[in-house]
Amino acid sequence: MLNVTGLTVKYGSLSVITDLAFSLEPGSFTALLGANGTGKSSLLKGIAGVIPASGGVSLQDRKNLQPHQRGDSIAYMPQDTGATSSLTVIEVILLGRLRSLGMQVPRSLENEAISILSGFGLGALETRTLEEISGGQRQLVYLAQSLFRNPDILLLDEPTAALDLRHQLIVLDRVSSHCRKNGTIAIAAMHDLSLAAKCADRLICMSDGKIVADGKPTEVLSVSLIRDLYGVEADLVTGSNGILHITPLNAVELEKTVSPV
Amino acid sequence: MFNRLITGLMALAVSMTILFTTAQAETITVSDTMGRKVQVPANAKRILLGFYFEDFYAIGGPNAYDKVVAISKPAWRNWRNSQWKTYVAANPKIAKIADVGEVDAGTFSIETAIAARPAVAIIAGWQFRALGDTVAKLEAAGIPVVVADYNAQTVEKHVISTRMIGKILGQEERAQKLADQYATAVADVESRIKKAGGDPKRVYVEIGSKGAGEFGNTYTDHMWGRIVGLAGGNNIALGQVGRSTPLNPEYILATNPQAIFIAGSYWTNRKNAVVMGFGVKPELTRARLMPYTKRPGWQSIDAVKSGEVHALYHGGARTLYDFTFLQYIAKVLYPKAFADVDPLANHRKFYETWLPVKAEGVFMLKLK
Amino acid sequence: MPLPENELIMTSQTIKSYRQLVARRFFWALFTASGLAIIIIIDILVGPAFLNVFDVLASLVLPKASVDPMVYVIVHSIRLPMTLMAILVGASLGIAGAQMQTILGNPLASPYTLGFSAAAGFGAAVVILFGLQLPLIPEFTVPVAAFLTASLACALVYGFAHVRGITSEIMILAGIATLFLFQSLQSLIQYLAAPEVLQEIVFWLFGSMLKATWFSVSVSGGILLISILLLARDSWKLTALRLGDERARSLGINVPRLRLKIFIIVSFLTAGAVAFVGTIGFVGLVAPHIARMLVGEDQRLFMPVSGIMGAIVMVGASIASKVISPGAVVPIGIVTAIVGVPFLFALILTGKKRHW
Repeated sequence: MLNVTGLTVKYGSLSVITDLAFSLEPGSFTALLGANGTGKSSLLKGIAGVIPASGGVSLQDRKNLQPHQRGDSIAYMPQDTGATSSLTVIEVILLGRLRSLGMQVPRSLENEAISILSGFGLGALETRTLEEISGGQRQLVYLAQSLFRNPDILLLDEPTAALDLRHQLIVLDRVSSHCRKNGTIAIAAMHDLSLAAKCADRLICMSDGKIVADGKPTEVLSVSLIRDLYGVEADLVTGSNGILHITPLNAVELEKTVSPV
Repeated sequence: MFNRLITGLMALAVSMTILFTTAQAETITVSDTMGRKVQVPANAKRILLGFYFEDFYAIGGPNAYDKVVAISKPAWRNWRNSQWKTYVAANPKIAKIADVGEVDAGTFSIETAIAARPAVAIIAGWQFRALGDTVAKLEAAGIPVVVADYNAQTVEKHVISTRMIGKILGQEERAQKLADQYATAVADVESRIKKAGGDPKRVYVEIGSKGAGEFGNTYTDHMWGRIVGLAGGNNIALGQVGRSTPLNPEYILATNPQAIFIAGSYWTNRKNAVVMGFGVKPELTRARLMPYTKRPGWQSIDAVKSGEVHALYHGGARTLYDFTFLQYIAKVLYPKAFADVDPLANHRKFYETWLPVKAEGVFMLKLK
Repeated sequence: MPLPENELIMTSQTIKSYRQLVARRFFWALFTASGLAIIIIIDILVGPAFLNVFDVLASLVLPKASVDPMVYVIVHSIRLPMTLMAILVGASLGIAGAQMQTILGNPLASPYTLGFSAAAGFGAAVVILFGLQLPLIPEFTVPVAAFLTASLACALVYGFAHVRGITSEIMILAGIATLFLFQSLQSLIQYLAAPEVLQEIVFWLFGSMLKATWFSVSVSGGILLISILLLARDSWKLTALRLGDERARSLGINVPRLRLKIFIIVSFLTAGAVAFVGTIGFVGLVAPHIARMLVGEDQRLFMPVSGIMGAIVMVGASIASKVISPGAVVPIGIVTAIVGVPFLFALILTGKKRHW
């Protein structure tokens, strides 16, 4: 159980997010939605403790985790910057469990890393280095690293950004099945509404640093919400199997009249 | 730019003055060591002297410095401090002569030189090279420049330099005697060596300015290196290194020299340097020289085992009396051939005959 | 849930290639280590005295009494300290360069480009110019001064970082500014110096193994050993730094603190190397690049192999200078530059991008 209370992130005197609070169940996969600049990344970074933030983060019975304590249970995957190095793919994944590594790396760890790699269909990458693989493959490697950490909480910042359609589905599928199997809590900041609606158990929508909608996709998504969040006129259709299909039509002016939850 | 203007105007003013005042004076032609034929005023009474201060004194006689209006003071006072002190004690007026600065250190002041209104400038070969186009400026200011060269360490240049200075000072007879003495002494050394025959002994020379703890520069084909060659020695540094570099310590051990000469001078501010010169006590020189024999591996060098470790006054090379040092080295290498030669006595006699000071101090020393 | 069959096959293939990679890297590490051992032996055997191989080996293993004294002195008092010093200095600079490139994320970082070597040179020049000498231990005046000014440069760069943030960009900028500062000061000293003093300063700056003594060997050796032990403990954290500051931080690493700690260790390592033998360039720059090409960036191998490559370059340069001019003492800094520059060109030409 993840409890976030009073989360505030400031850059200098500018408040990016103010006094946010929510709780997430173990095994759940939540999609974080919102236009650019509404504070999605800051929310994730604040929970991860990577940037200074005020407020409380509690995990299960561990109340008020301090930033330096969060690394053990929280895995934060930042947006891809395109930066590479000549580390090999397997080394990158192994680094997920930094603390278990010593002069000798246990065979079991190596095998586990390799099987995660294969699980993503990247077994053919073998011993390539980060700079030798494509941007999408790199994303997958970093995700593999995050999963390898077996964290209690998985914070993903635009995990599907550079991926092709097939890999987008694989990633989200793996994440939600990992969560269900291991009781991990995952939050992913995303832009693809349809995928979010399909794969996530819950949607949290942000606007101007505040949460404006929170709940199941079918309950939360509406044409007016989409218009208010993104300034986009969209078509919303519920398909035969209960899956939401969202089709963007055209962009309109943004009205700032959304009341916080 | 402004500087150049001032200098140019001064040069013009001075040359006009000189032109008017000396227009009617006689000029003589001298040949200097660079083969230049220069017109200088006869009986010049105002001389700028760049180097070779003792040789000038020897050639000019006791009143030689009455004619000197400017010198490169650092080259005497700083480089040969014990010598400077001794000469100033004998002739205090020297200390008051105008200082034109030191060429190598870049402190040479052409304005001071011109302001002293010399009739001729006598400089060393290395100063000529270092001055570059400043020489032309001096000449444009009406100061003829002649080059002496004892640094070349050849009989020929020693003789030319001596006779040239003698001509300028109107002391041609004295100069000729000195030149002859030098040439004869060197020829004598050469003939004795030839008669003695035998294989040249291996010699190592080093400058002792840093003391035994560090390996100082050695000499290949100039200064002490050339003298060693003239003395019939086999300089182990020849062909191994360039100028002004130390020799590899291992190489010294490997070639196993049979005679070692360390050059010392009045480096009193350096704690371990080999100190020699005027007014120095032999105990001090020995104390500084002894540690050299304790260098790693030096106990097994032939020169150390046979006690042929010597110290030589660094100021003794490139002078009119350096033949005494040549004799000293030759005597170390060919003792039998030079049994009747007393280099130290010759050195003392030179000073007594030609120079206003006595050679009291340490100039040539054997360690044991 | 077992993996589908084609994934299983891929997995076992992946495992095999991965093991091959590990084996290959290990092979390179051993190869370079043996290479080093061989040229160490060659360095001890080579010298202007042209000693017989058996004599040299005898003097190394037999007791002092049963060996020709001259051979013993040459081997033990002259050659051995010089060779050991070359190894220690090369390894120190190689490792220092490797870690600097790691924590600053810049392939051009090295003890030289951050101004530490220049600062050491300035310290030495000041002492030589003014003829200063420490009481009791006058022969250590220059190394102590060099060490102090190198540490001063380190403090300068750290000071800037402390004020403006301990990031790579700030540190590199501060380092380059420090480099220029101390190089100008060095030039000033050279300008003020009389010719013989100038020659002495320049000779020191060029670097020379001649000053190697058993004392300097033990001091440098001690610093190297301590540094390696301290650095080894953070091996994986340093490897993680290559992922970028943000990702490293998300792995739970206190990036500024790690950067600072490594920076201080590296400064001491550099100062300890440069203080005794003068400014030696290129080793700290080139050795890590070669190591990276051979064994990758996993610090468990990258750091030691950087050290080994650095030592190989130094000892190689020592042999080269002895072969070229046996009678002289060729400044080793010049030889490493002459050897290092073509290496650098080769690295650039062979698509260096692959290895950074």
